Amino acid sequence: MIDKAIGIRPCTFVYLLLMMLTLVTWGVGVLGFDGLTMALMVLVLALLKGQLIGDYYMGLKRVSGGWRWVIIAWLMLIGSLISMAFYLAAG
Amino acid sequence: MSVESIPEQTISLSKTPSGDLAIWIFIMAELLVFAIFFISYAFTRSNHVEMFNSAQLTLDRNIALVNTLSLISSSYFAVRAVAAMRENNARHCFNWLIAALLMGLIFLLAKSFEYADHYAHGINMRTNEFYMFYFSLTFFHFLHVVMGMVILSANAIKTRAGNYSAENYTGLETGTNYWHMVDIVWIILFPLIYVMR
Repeated sequence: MIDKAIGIRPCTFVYLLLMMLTLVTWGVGVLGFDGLTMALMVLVLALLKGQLIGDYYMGLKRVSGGWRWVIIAWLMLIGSLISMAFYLAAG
Repeated sequence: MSVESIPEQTISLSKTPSGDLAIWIFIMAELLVFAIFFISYAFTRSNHVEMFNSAQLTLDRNIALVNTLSLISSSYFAVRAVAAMRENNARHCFNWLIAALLMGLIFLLAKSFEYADHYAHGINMRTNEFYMFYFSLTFFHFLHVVMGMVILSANAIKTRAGNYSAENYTGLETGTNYWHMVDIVWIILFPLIYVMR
């Protein structure tokens, strides 16, 4: 893992990653990129960020069974339905 | 418990998540409500794409960036607070909680400034459907930030009073898990309302 290679705590590595992904999302907004592909890319980044928080900050990465899937299931639900709505809007 | 600071080889999978199980039931209920909001926004937008896109351009993405960075930082500080308590360092835990609360305060101030700017320009919930969603979604989330800060403040007071230790910090984990939920919701809300078009 990169976090081990550069010698920082996993949560600090995740924090830096979250900040970087946020800046990418903000950049897409201020540069005025639009269209279905860009919208879905931004959505995927947001879902990835949510998963990182669930796994590393809420500790679900170390939980077995159904509880492990609480955040994943929620992200999959909203991700698929929001994608569908944007796809319909683009069509 | 968060993954932070536990040596890899000592971690085994737990059957239950960290903190009080009741907070997880509450978190699931809250996430469901926000999911309905998000999905309603997306499908309503699909019928009014031009109106939603033009109204979205009036939002200040720089303030939204400040909001997002402050909540992400706050969540990180909350993780560090739990890690400090796990190491039985109550003073560091308290300091990290205060830092998390300050980031929450920055969020509230920035969002209040944004609301004031909208109202100064005559924009409110009745302006159009986009703003109806914008104000109701963001204000509902705003209230959750306030609630989260009340919980974190209670955690900080109990930490200061010596009520938590390396053996007993379930209450602290319960509070920080709620705070992370508030962060996750904003992480979806930010691109959905401010960026995706």
